[in-house]
Amino acid sequence: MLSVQQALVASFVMGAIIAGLRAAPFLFFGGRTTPAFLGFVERYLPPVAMTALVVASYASVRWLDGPHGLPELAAGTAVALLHLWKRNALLSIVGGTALYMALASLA
Amino acid sequence: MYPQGFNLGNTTPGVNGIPGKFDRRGVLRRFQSATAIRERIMPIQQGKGMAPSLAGMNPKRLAPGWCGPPGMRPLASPTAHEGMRVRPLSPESRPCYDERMSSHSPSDRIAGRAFKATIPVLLGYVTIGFAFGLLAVESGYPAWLAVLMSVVVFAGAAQFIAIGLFVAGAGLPEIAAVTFMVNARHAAYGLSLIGRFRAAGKFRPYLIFGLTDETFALLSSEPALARHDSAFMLLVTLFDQLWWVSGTLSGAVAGELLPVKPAGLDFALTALFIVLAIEQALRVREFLPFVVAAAATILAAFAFGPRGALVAGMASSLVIVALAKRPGKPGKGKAPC
Repeated sequence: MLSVQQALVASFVMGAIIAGLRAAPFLFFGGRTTPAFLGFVERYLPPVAMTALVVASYASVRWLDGPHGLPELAAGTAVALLHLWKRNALLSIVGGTALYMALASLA
Repeated sequence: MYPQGFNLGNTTPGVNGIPGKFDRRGVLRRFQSATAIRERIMPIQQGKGMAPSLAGMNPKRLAPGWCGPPGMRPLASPTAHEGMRVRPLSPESRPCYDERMSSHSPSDRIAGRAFKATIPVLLGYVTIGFAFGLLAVESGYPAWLAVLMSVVVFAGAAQFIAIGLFVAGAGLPEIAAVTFMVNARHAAYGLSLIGRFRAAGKFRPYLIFGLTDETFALLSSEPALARHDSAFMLLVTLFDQLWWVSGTLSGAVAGELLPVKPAGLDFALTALFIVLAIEQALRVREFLPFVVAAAATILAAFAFGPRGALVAGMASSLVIVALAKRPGKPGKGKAPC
């Protein structure tokens, strides 16, 4: 186990790496990116990133035991249907999360 | 090609598929009253030159004063476009602005807009931040270190993984390498915000520092405001970090007082991602990026486990989508604003 001092140093190193990653496009592409490339990124990065984030948050579900991920799947479906129906994000999120908490406590 | 702003003229089929006509001054004449207009943002997305469809929206959803992110935006019926002024946008105008905000959003409302935009992130960040604070304290680290990590690192997954590495006694090179891999996707996020951040001036370093998954998601789905856009972006980023830090603080304090763990509240973050993915689907109206990203991330989850799934899935699906939609191809890909 790292000491508090070592963990403190490691935290600052992590912070610097992450800030560097977030700043990379501004440092390297600031003035010279081709509009075509930017247009592609603007259009396709958000959908790809959001889909990957959804799938990745389901990747840590324990599919093989317990309720086999049914609460997660049901609540996720509820979020999607609620959102397609009302298109009110807060309603979709709060509703889906409440359903998940109820299902998870039953399971 | 995507529309360059709105196409004006008597033959205009309508705004976003809603039938209507513009007069010579660019006022949509189809509808009579103009009550709800100032409450809604004109759906021109910054840098995209296109608007998400407003068709099929429900007028009941239109709460006065409601100004959330697109996901949360009360969706207007066609009546919400009554009297909407539409000005032609030149292809050179970048970023595209929300025209109405220029006259209807005094700066004091910017804070309210930013606050409401971040409410879903509040739910997710406070919960997950709480779990992080709890984990850090239960792993034997002081509460202040957990809070400090949320201030200087400000990256959810990396912080959780870091606690595991700290406990395992990992060396600095290993911690650095894992941090780099887990957060490499952040290097791509800024690409779509270069133009919009350019106007942010002295706030820009902080906006870049605070570009988490969720802040990126909110900012990239929120249209740019004609005025106070940098203040809005700053407040969204600040609020998001405030939620994260306060979640961490309360979790760390709770961990020192009594060990309670809320069961299932963290699903809010998954729900947020689902909502934002649906919003992207309604904006892009193409199957390919979603199918590719879902399939690639599922495969990546089998190949690399949950930790590697995000990075590998995102990277591989971006490459596949890029190959399928070469930006140079006519009629495909880019949408200059």
